[in-house]
Amino acid sequence: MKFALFVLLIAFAGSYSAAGVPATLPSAEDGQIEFERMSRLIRAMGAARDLEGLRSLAERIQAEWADRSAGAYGQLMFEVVGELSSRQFDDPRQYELMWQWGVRAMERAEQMPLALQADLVRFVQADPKASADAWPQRRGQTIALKFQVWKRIHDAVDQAWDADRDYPRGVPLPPGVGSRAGITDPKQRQEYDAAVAQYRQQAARWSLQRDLRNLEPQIAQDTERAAIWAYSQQPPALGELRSLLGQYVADEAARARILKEAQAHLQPADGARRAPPQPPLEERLRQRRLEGAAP
Amino acid sequence: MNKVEATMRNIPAALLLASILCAGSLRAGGVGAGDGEWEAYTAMLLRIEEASRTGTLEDMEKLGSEVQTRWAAKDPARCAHLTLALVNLVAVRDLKDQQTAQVARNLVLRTLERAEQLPPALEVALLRRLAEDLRQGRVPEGEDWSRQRTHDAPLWFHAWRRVNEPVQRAQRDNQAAAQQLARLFPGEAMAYLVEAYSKAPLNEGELRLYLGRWMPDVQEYVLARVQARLHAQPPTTAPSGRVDDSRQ
Repeated sequence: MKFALFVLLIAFAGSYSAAGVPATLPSAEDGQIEFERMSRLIRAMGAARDLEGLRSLAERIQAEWADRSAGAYGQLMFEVVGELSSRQFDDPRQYELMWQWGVRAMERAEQMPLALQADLVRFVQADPKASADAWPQRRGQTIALKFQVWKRIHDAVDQAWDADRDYPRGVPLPPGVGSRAGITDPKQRQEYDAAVAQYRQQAARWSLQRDLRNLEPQIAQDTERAAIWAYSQQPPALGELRSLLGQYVADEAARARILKEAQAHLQPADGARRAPPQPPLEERLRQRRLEGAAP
Repeated sequence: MNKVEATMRNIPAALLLASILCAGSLRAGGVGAGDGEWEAYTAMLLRIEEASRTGTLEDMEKLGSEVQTRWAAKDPARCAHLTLALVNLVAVRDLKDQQTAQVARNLVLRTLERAEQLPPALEVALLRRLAEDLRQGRVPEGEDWSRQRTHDAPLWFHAWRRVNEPVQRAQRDNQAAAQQLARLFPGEAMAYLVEAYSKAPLNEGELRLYLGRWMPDVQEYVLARVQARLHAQPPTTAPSGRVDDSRQ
């Protein structure tokens, strides 16, 4: 299962590379075994409810993978923050670590596949209660990261792409030949290989564009919701939100909508609650756990 | 040459060498940096993870036995972590099977024998497995259940007392965790007791005795909730759930 995931990761990273989004890959067979082993260990450490153990693993991943393979590093850190997000450790530090490691991993996001960036940034959540004094700064940092990923995905979508027109067509073998080995003419074989290489590029690009078109509405919705929720919390910082929107969000209607909603739902400073906007799903689950709902 | 091949060929030799050396240290036993105990611990976690995909009930029993032998006396906290990994990864596959559920329960109970030496959060995490059995209907019926409940209920009171101990006793850097547990666990413990003592055969006398001995502040509230549950009418206000240490 993990091996399949690893293979998929490489394939996925490769497809983003083909589209001009840089992706580094795990380097050798040893790296592959090590990746799989680390991934299994993260899963077991989460099941063991060992927060300190997970922290040690995250430090190890940071030291050993960050400069070696951004794709594998991002995937492993995604698994770490996933365990921190989904398990009940009865220790508020789990959310602090989740934020810290999520932000740290996002420092390398530009070298990761876009889908992985989108997955990873979902776990970057600042909490106004848990991070107290740090909240205003963390809010800005968190939402900026989410906007950056949204922008990268938006920018990578080719508006001119057409699923039917651009669908890659297979490369036929020359008449009378049953396989590539049957092409005896060197020139003909060279032409065939070039056509296959072009087909592979087209196929990778087609898959990428299809995936991005599925991904963009999801990341747009998640990010919009997260931004509205974060900037409807005290202290007000609508100027900061406006600045981030100007920097990262090209869609004028989306910019206006986010600002308007954040302003409309701004929570009063006196603690009296207005009907808040719906926080992102991960935030709602986290709050339920903190409030003592069943694990 | 495609981009993958190009990337592979451009990796500096030093990086490759480092990666091989690093992989070697992992193969030698885990991700630890020269800490033999950590290496043994992570190696066992990997074996447990492996068993979660391919293992049998016998493998689980064998691993559980190894965990107890190696860690129970020497490092109860790691023993508890490994037990949790076992029951959360391996046993969870086949918990509907009565035999598997029983093996998992026995592992949890053996680990709880050293509850006093565990951090309260780990004690609570182990107890949650017992509560989960009850919620999922993986408990026996009739007199067998009555005996199991008589055995298990005091374990909850033990943990309740510990999470309510003054937070000052908690390690200084972990006060927030101690406070969180003290805030949340009484509700969980009461929910377990109410569910356990609402299941036939009823035994209000035993519950009254336990509550009176260890948790008199909430005695009437919990008993009322059991009655309300039996008559499907939840009571309204909850008391604090603080422990009367003098009776412990």
